Amino acid sequence: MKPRALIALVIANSILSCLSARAAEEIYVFKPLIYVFKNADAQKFSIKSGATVTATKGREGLWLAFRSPATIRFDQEETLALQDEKLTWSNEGAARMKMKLSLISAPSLVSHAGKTATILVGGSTQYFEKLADGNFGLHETPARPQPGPNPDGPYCQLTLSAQPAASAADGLEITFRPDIAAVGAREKIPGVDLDVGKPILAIFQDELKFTAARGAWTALFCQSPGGSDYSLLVLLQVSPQDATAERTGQKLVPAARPAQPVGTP
Amino acid sequence: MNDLERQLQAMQLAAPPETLDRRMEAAFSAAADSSEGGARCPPLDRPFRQAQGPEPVEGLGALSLPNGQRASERQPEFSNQRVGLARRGGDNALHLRSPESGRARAATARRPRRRVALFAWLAGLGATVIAVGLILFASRPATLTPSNPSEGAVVYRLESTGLMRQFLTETPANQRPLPRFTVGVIAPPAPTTPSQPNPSS
Repeated sequence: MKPRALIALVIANSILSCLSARAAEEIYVFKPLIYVFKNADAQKFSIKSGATVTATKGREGLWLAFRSPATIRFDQEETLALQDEKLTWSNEGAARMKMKLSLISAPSLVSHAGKTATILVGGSTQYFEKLADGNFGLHETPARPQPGPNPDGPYCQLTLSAQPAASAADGLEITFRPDIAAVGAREKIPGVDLDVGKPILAIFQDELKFTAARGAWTALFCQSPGGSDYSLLVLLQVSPQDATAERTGQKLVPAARPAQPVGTP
Repeated sequence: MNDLERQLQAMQLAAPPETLDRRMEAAFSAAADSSEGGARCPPLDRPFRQAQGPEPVEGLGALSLPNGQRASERQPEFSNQRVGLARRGGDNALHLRSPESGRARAATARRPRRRVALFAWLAGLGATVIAVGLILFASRPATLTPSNPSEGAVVYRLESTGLMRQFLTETPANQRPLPRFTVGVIAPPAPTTPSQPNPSS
């Protein structure tokens, strides 16, 4: 064989090997259902689960993870059952529970193994500042705040990543990093009793690592961060892309740009 | 001595004319000038002929040589006629016509070819090393934290509305009591053991 042909063969083989190795890397579909509810709307809230995982990073242990099978119960009436790949509301309490729980978003995010998929919920808020001439100026925080140690506005960021667990029986090793910056207080304006000053953000960062079966639902719960009047409930399902495509009958492709919101289920 | 021999002895053979001598000398000179590529090789073809290696028939008087016979293998009287060679290069040029010089010329002509082959094999070796490196790089185990966190990250942005907006922007009242939150444990189902047959039955 001529040297030139040999070189071309070796290079072609290496390129094909790289492409096949890349294609063999697993792709996961994250399906989080993000709920917010007002504490006043629930007199009693209970979760029963086969396994509970607590946060590893948070100072107060804000977030808890409950693996399937689990049952979430509101006021002894409405129940939500997580049984592997099934998510079932109790018939009689579904409507009432859905009124109490506000579904913020239910996107489907596609990411490679070990890569992160992030949901960032942000918005602006207004405040007054007293000017030098004695008047008051109305200001507004950025509509798209930048997360970080010194955020410029309130946001809620949930970062997810998954990869195969060390043992195949454990399924997937999922990392959940919530990062919330909520208005904890407002600066006082001299001579003004109203609570309309510049917002002081309270940051709550946490990290949970847990294993879950492929396609099984997991409940992630955060009760009243920083004494807030609200609590967060995230139902998360992570499954390989092939399994998701089989369920939905379509092929999902990793997004090269931010995913677009989808309608509520 | 017979008659024929006597007649030949009596004959006065004329010397070759000077014009013939000059023409022969010019022809030998031209052949010597193009001798690096072989007999009757125009100067423009020299690089090509050099790459071809030694010819089976070279040198002056090639047309008169039998097939496969080298000029250097000619009889001694022929080498005496190499006027142009001696004039052009002296001993050096004559050296190229010796039997040893044929092998030397062959080795010299093969050098470029060997150089090309050497470079080809070096390039092949380099490509193999690169291919092995790429294969090893592609088959490395996936790490939990990517080297660049932003690489390949998918960000889904939403504008806060409804209860999420209130949650993010409302100052906590800290007045209402929190709902009673309890966590229970679902006991895993006991493994079913197959019933043992009753030995008495």
